[in-house]
Amino acid sequence: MQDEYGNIWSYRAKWAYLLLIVFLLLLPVFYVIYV
Amino acid sequence: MVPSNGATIWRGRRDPASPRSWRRILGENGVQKWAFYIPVVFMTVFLALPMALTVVWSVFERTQFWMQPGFTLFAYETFFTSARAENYLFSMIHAAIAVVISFALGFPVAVFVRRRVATALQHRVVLLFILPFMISELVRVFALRPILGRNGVINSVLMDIGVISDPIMIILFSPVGVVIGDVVSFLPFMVFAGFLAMEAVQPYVFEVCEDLGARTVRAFRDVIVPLAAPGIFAGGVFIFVNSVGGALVPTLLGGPGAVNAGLIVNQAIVAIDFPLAMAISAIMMATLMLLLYLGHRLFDLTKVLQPIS
Repeated sequence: MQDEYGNIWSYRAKWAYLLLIVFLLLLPVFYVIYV
Repeated sequence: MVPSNGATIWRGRRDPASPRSWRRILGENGVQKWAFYIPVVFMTVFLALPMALTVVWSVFERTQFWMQPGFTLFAYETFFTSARAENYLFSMIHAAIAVVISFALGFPVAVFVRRRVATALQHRVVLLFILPFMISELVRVFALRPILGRNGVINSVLMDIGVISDPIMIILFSPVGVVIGDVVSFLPFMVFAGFLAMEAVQPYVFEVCEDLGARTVRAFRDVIVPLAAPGIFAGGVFIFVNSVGGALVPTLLGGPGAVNAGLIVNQAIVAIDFPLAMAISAIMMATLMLLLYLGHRLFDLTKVLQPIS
């Protein structure tokens, strides 16, 4: 296991992944709004 | 006559509305005692009885528009000797694939939230995954059509940036489309179940792994997943049941050969073959009960409900 906040970019990448999943789940919703 | 405590005496008996009567009705020997039976009654009327009736009706004889009492296994014979049995099997495989993909995408999110996000923020981050449910599932699944379609968002973007020259056709109106639809619809449940399951993995467990020199993959595979297994299984069953039994996703995103058990049942009802629909439902119930039994033997599902000490 790596250090908790040793690599800030790994931490940021995980946040980005989480938000990407949320965005992908909401993509149909956004598309409906766009259309 | 009005006694000193305020209750009216009516023909020598107390008014039913007096405080003492209410205490008797609402007290420990009244409603409080019988309230415990409400869940039992509810589950009997709305779960056990319909399930029993499903099995009973599945052996009834089919008439032109309805069914009549009798005993015949014709519906089961029809199911097993037609393409429905094969489709049913394939729908279970597709559902299992949807569960695996949901686990691979969703569980790391749950681990990350439990491990790295501040405690006060954890529940708010998980709430982000409720956002898709703010809009009807029908709309969400239907909106996947213009995204996955021939001239959809994905194909347009990939063709514009030059990754592909011809549109990918396999992602809509195919089993792949159904799996994508299932994952998009039910992925949040894996995040929720994983988040709850991770309660069984206390922060010191990570420290112990670190102290003993376990690498991330090893700790994940040998420590975190076994500890969180009951919760992961519960989430997996939820996604599996919905993928096998929900007729919505294959109706909108499926095509030839991309049906699931729910859609087969739906088609049987449309064909006014109620015993067949009941037989398929009974087989589905038996399959899922077997699955739950195996899961319980393997992971002890009662742990899901036990508080962590």
